[in-house]
Amino acid sequence: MSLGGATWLGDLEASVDEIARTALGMEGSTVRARTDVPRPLDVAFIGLVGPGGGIQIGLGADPAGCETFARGLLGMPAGGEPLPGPEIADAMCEIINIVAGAFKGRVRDRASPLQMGLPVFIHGSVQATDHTAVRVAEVTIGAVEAVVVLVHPRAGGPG
Amino acid sequence: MQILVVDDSKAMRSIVMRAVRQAGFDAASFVEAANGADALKAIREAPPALVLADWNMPEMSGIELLKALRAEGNPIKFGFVTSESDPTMRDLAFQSGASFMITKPFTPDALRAVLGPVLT
Repeated sequence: MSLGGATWLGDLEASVDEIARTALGMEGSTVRARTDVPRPLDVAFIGLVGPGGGIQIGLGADPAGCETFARGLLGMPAGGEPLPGPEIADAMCEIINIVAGAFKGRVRDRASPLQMGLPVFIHGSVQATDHTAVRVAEVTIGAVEAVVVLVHPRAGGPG
Repeated sequence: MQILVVDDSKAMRSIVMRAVRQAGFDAASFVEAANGADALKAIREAPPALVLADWNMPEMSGIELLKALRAEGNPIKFGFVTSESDPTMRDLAFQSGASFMITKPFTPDALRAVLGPVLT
């Protein structure tokens, strides 16, 4: 079954909301806007591949926001010693890994099995191509203004 | 009692170790590995009481590690701590000899529930 990008993005937003509450100890997320134009931020991405192709999902924020997420995952209070950059990157990769697990569970009944790749952490903005589309949800998680990013085949998705 | 924690994320290794202590296994000591290949070497050199492994890792995945151990005839206690929760993967884990599979994020209570039968 092939699903449209909007459906995938909704599932992704719900997965991020779930993980913000359960793994980061934060309030849930609020979607402020949806767009096709990502802005350059620090973003953790992970690939999910199915029989019909692959998608990339991402969670990003500015450096301070990423540190807030990392501290949440690690159970560290705000305002302590700053976390080194590599530790923030490692934590952001783990967060998107956990989000991907939740996402897989949400779409399991509507899509073919998805295989999870290994996460990466980048600074920048992903570009759409003739074959891939980009969908972005601007979200607020706790006090952090973040983005949830979906890169998917223009034909639909991997299902 | 030594536990080998295998995860490519340093953050997650520290979370797992803290959660094991919070689950009441204060006497546990830990060794760490960042992938299945490093874990396999560590187990061959000094077998721990339990392996807690992620599933998706570079070089050698958690399931590849478990299969390699069982292929060597190593019956070491083995559990997955992973973001994966797919029923087919869960079946594969148990068929391959895992004692349990716990999904991230998890609580110390959930960890206690799966570690208790294995470690006591």
